Amino acid sequence: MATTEGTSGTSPGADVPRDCGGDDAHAVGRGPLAVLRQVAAACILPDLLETPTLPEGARRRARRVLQEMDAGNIGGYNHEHRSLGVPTRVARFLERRDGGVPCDPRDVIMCSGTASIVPVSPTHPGGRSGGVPVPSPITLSSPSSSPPTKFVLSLLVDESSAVPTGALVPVPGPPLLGAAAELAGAVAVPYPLAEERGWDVDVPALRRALRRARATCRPKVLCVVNPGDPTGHVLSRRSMEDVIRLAAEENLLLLADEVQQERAFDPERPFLSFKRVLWEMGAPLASAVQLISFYSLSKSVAGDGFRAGFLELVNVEGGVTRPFHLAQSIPRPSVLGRVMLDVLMDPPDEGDPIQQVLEEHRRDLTRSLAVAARLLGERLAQAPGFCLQPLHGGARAFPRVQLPPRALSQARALGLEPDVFFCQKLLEATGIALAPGSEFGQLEGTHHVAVSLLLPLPALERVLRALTQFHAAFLREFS
Amino acid sequence: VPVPAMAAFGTSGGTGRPPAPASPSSRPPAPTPLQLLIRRAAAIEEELAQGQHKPFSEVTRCYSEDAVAAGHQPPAFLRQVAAVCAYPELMGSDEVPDDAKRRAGEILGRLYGGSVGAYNLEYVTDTMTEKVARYLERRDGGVPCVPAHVIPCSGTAAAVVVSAATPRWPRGTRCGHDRRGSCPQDVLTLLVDESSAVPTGVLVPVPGPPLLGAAAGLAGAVAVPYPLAEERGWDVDVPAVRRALRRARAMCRPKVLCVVNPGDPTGHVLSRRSMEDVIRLAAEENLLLLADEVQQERAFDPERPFLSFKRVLWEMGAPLASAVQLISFYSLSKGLGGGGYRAGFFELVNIERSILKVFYTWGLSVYPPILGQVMLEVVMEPPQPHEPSYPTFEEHRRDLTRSLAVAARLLGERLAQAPGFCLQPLQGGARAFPRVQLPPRALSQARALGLEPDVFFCQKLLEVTGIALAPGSEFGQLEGTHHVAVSLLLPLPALERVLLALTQFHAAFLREFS
Repeated sequence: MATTEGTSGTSPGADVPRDCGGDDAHAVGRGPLAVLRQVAAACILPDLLETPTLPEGARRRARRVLQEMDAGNIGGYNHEHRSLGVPTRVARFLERRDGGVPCDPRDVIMCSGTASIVPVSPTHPGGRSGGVPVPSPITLSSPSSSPPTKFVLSLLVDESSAVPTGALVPVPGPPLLGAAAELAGAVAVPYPLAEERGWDVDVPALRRALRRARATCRPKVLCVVNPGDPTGHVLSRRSMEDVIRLAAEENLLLLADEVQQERAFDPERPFLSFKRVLWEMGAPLASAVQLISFYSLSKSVAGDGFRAGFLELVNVEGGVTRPFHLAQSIPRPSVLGRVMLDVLMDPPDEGDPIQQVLEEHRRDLTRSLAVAARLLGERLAQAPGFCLQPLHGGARAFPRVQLPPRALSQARALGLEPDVFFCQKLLEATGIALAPGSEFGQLEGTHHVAVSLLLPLPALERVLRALTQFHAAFLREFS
Repeated sequence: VPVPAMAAFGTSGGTGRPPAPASPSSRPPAPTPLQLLIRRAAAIEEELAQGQHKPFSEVTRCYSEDAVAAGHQPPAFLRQVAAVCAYPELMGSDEVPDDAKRRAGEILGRLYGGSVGAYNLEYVTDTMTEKVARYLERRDGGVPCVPAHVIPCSGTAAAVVVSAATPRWPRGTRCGHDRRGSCPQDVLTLLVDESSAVPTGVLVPVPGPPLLGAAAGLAGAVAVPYPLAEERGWDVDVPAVRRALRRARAMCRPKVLCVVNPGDPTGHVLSRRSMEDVIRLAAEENLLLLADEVQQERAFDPERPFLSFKRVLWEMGAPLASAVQLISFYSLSKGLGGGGYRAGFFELVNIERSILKVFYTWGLSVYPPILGQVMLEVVMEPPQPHEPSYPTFEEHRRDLTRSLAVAARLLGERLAQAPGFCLQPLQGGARAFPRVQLPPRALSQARALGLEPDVFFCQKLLEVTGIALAPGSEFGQLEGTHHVAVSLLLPLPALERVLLALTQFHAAFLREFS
């Protein structure tokens, strides 16, 4: 695992990864789930089925996989597996997840996640561009793997219209969401989350954003991220109902980025899918509001970047989604990615050793995220100049950081966002790389940093100590 | 242009045609005749399993060029390296030979976190491009290749088109078009200018892979078919392309000429001379050459070896060699790999600076699965003669082309003896595309049923013999002609049986519908 030495010679320690602000499990040393890799290996090399090199549970599961493959081989296209086999099991998984809300496999579209880095030139300072956050140079090492939002949006954008389509995107939000909207030919319309209310969706602010946006575009899509990234909030049912009502009133399609759903760790705020909440609101909304939801293997309990995920379409007009079903319209996952995702979709089974491992892993993951969240909360509560909203889910914390006026002016003199300046100085002094808030967008005049909750506890302790000490020194230096 | 009922949600994708009216459900589009045949084949298998009596005891699928589905696995070495990369603990296992472990170790050492599941953009953009470039130089007898002009991708479909959006050029690109900020991130949408009132035309060969025509539509272009000359072994017919161009200019601006070599499903490999004619045509008509060369490892006729368009272009010398723009595709799905791993690349030659810049400024639209790139790496740098896995690997490679050649010869012999079949010489690829004579009464009965005649033929063939072939209309063909696509990938005994049943059935069909 690559680590970074500060230029002043300080090093945060051998176990502190080079990127402490990302949400990529691998980047912080959390290896892949062995069971999934074992199944994958046995599928690739069926010779392994005959010997005890791999555990029997993995071999059994791999045999099941190969039975479904064309000619019993994993290397072919296996179109049926993609278009019917896996979606059927995904549909059953979603029904279990959502307490029985029915799911039709034909509404499940397997897709590949996209991790497109929008490269920034060395002279680009990062920060906002027309209100939409742009990744900063620091975080080129911590890419954000995003769902194929761009492709989905591009199917929703009406290119023949003289008025561009508008897509509302939350700020703060995943760095590439706004970029994805623009890439799709839409106009990204930022709407602020209410930081002081735990990053809740602020419906009046949304309405204001809509009104203003209508001067320049036709808003059609409302993107919501739940659990939030990098904010770490999980929406309450009530907030979700407000969002749904708003979408109905304003005739917006809801694009729900729910990829972090398996990282919800606060039992007081369990993850509820938009689909479930919508369904439980009953007629007429339940069949009127159009919704597309994303799930990704890399943000699931597996945390493995095999480029697999799926979209679920709810109430979406046929004319719009017809192209989704065309093989070429959306990037498709490799067979292995589908297989690994498929194992996660297996129903709970106490007799299955793989399921036992997965269950244990799920518990460990949520427990360690909760512990990390508590630690962050405690340390930052004691540090003047930091303010952290409650964390319920996701893999990052997004504390607000107070930056002194001289730092603000020095940053601007250098053409940098203040929090980029802060993060650069932090990196130089401590060797620790955090993601600056401007990468995700934030209210003008506020500054944040993103800290990964996936870091092992000792590393997280070190990071927090270095961060708070550095900040205190920074306050003194630039006061 | 009819407006969908729910106009608020936009069109059904930039097909260049008026959008279909919105329907109340999000059901998939209507299946193609081939898809229906595939479904019927599965249904017949069910019926057989339930004990229904049929004149045959099993269903034989003989239409696909998916080698892995036909039972041809990628070489063992490839799968051994991939398995170890997927589960590095296998380093300690006796199931994997040492050289595969060593290679896997080298690869994992270059990956961040030592994991194929971690984000490894540099592996894709730096390591892979270098290896691919060296492979291409070896392939092309030394023609230089710039790694920066190689773009790894997750297979042809993704690279050719992944977006149904009509694109805009990004801000700052100098191309004189209206810009609204969207960035096309796949090849065809990159080349199509939707802001123009006149749609872009993309010439596609007929017969050809259905992907190309669909891709042109999805990219917002107009697909302009040009016929291949069947009677001359499916050669590119330059005068016919010119005629297609002239006609097309009435309704679009042709910009892209797609050529498929080796051809699919036609199985031809172009001669150098034909390729030079195509290149000259592209130069004269200012067309970008999109060369689908994905079947290059399936060229099996030593009299007609595969030559890349890049090589032929280079060897034509100045001024063409630096003037004609070319994008060429390679896929791991054909040849030694498999379609499930989603790996391939495309190479840009003489591409206009502004487009090149877009490719690199905006990155790859689909970050490919790393394990697929790992397998691609092994194909680009296979075991060397001194390595223990070399003999098996090379044997596997030879078997691939040898078995295709033998199957091709068998098909040629059997169909030459059958009246009503006409097969052009096969030189590459994994399918044959014989022309089938269908009697007039069959034609009228097909039309009465609303079917293409070759679809009607294939449906009857399936019901009577259990054999599933692909109808020629799936790939396009000259009006009034009918073909079937037959896979070369089946084991010889099965292929013999298929040919016997096919020719017998056709003879009966002729009698029945004469």
